[in-house]
Amino acid sequence: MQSCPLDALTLFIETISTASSSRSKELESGPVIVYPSAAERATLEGRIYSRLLQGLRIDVLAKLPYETATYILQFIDLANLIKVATISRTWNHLSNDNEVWKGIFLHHQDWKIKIPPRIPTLTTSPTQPLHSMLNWNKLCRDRKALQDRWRSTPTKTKLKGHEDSVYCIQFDNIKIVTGSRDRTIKIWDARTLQCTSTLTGHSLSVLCLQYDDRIMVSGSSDNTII
Amino acid sequence: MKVTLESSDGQVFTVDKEVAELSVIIKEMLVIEQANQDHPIPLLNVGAVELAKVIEYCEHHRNDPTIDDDEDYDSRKKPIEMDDWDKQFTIVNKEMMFELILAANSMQVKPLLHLGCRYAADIVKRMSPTEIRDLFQIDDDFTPEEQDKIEWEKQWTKL
Repeated sequence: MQSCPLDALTLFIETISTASSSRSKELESGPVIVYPSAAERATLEGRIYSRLLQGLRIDVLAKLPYETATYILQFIDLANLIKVATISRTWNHLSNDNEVWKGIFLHHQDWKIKIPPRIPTLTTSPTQPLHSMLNWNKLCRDRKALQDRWRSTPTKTKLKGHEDSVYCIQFDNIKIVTGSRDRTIKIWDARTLQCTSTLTGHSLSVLCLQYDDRIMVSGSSDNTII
Repeated sequence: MKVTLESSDGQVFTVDKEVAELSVIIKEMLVIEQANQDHPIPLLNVGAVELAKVIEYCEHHRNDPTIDDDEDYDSRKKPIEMDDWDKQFTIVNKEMMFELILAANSMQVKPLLHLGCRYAADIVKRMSPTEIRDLFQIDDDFTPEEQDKIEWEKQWTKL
């Protein structure tokens, strides 16, 4: 009863009073208060609930004009919109609306987007605002993927090999190059994360290094550059 | 100044102009028909019961600042506050919310449309798909292939 106050309550009282009045007629006595039995109460409550829901026993989204139905969906978050898509064909169709997806995107406080007010190009009519041309579903997907990537903890791997502090690194897709206080430069395979070679030559810490396709230059606290 | 409105079933309501003007449609009509305000404004899509409720809503909200959210999309991020009166209004009228949404839509009473749509959205949010189908008497009309496609589609929304 708590979830359906007032109108349910009035109905409940109405029904009780009709029930009790018919019974008091049978008894033909004065003002007698008759309480409904447990069984009667159960059926009454059942009737109340079904009556409560009766007002809605129509496919709301399918019967409303398209704009209004999608307007409703603009108040729904991502998880619930996915649920809506599984209800029926009509609901699925509505859940694909671009405006709805725009709502999803804008509902995320931390999803920011900068839309220039208008980009004058030959292909777009100047009166059409840019945000209605964006594919908001795609934007949501991309943004979600990005968010997930930021939030997931990356797997950390330790590269063991240097005997002292690492002062500098540079890396690309194939290799990682590290310079260390142990006077060496180590080159690691970026995929297997194994040390592939160790370069020696400096007599003190390697402080900085830089490589390109052909050469690598390193600077050290032994005052030399190799 | 007073304005008279006529429902689809011929009932006439007299309301203050500022109350009636919460409906964008009526506001525009009043601008156009400034000269002859003697006869009531006909609302062909709105019945008397619904119109009375819409007027009740507008009376309560007559002094609210107008929200023009047509272009200001950021405003939708912050949900417009529902006061206790609004909550009570949706609870009392939940059986005719659907009609009220339709009425608010055809009269373009934007805050009421907003309220009604949010209410409907809340119902959908609280229920499981089966419960929704049950409540709105919807048939699950997907073919198994379509169902698979939907299942596959929703993968990306999960982490």
